Amino acid sequence: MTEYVRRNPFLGLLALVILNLFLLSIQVRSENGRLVLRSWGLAAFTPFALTADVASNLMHQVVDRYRFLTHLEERNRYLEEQNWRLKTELNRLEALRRQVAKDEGFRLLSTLYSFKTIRASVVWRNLPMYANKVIINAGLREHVRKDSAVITPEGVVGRVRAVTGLTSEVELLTDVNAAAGAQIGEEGLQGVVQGTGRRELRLNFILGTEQVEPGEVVYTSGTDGIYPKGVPIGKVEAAERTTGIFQRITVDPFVQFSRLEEVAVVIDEP
Amino acid sequence: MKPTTSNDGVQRRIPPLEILVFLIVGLAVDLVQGALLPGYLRAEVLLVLVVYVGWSTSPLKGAVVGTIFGILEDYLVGIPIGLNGLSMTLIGFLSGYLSRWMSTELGPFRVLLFAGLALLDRAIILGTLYLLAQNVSPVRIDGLLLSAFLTGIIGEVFFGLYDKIRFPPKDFRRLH
Repeated sequence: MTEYVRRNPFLGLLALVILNLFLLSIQVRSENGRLVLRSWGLAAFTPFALTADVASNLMHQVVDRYRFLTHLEERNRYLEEQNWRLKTELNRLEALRRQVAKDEGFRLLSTLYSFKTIRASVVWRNLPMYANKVIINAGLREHVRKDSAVITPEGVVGRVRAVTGLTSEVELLTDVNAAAGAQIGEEGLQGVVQGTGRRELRLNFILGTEQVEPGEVVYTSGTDGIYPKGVPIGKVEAAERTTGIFQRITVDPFVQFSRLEEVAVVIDEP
Repeated sequence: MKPTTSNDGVQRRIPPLEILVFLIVGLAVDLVQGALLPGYLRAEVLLVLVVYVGWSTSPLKGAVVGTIFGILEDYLVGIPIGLNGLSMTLIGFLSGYLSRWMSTELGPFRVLLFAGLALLDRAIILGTLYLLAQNVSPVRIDGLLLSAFLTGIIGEVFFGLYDKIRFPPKDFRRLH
């Protein structure tokens, strides 16, 4: 060992220098009162500590990623199940909301109008060859009569054409044979609304000299002996002047005839 | 310049007892100087002795003697132990190496050599203090130069006297 150091004097020098620095470092304190040895030790240890910290974090990330991937399928299945459950719940709540809104609408009928109505459900629609007729589950037993008016909270639906004990056949206002006395606005021009076989209605017998604006609401006039006065039918979609004396007025009905589910039948007081 | 083992081409052996005497004398002079003289008039006697040992023997021995002398000086003076120890270690080692590459036949050169090494010694100490993040009081260059010059003179005198006493020229006439 001595011989080795003698041959390599720089090793001896290095050892002596380290010895002196060590002696200094255990006596001298830095400005913040720490021993220089501790400060040096901390400075020397810091890179290792940082490296260890980074490595540890990296390892944790790798392990977490692995765990995440291994549980991904299970989690996916759980989330799909949860998604289905929530969708079902949402649909149920939406149906409930619609029902509540509908109930509220029908409840309002009795407060808006003086006549009495009974509620009935559409049990059959789109009959072959009778595209503008529906069957409802109310008949003679519920005091429904032929030509009873059928409405919804949105507006006029049509009238009863035939009655049995438990059901009735309703002719929709869109039928080409259907018609109802009507007026523009609650006290305005009077005419007759007729079905066209399509979705829109036609308001006839309004003179070409009258001023009719699109968007005006058309109500029943109560002059036909079937529909009570003041029930909304639709709003004016277009009013065109023709060569004749009457205008050609198209009415957009408020009732969505293709989506009818429940209706109210106007009945006489028992 | 041709490498030699010492200034006159001969690697001398300095007995430990003589080194001990060097140490005692050096420390005594150092203490007396410290008590009586201002800093700029103090010669680095112990440094001279370390340089002499390193120059006359080997770099490693110079470093070892430098470490011992420096640590003892630190202890006696009351400064952090290792400050002079580190500088004298390096100076002792360096002087051992310089002796292989330089000749100190000329007196003025020896004065310059000791003065240069004394300045280097101060520089190492200041550098170490800076490294240790210590507050270093301002140093006067003229004081440093004067002290280094005095060290050079002392070194030259010591080198000359000691060599004359310890290794007198042989009188070959007696052989006849």
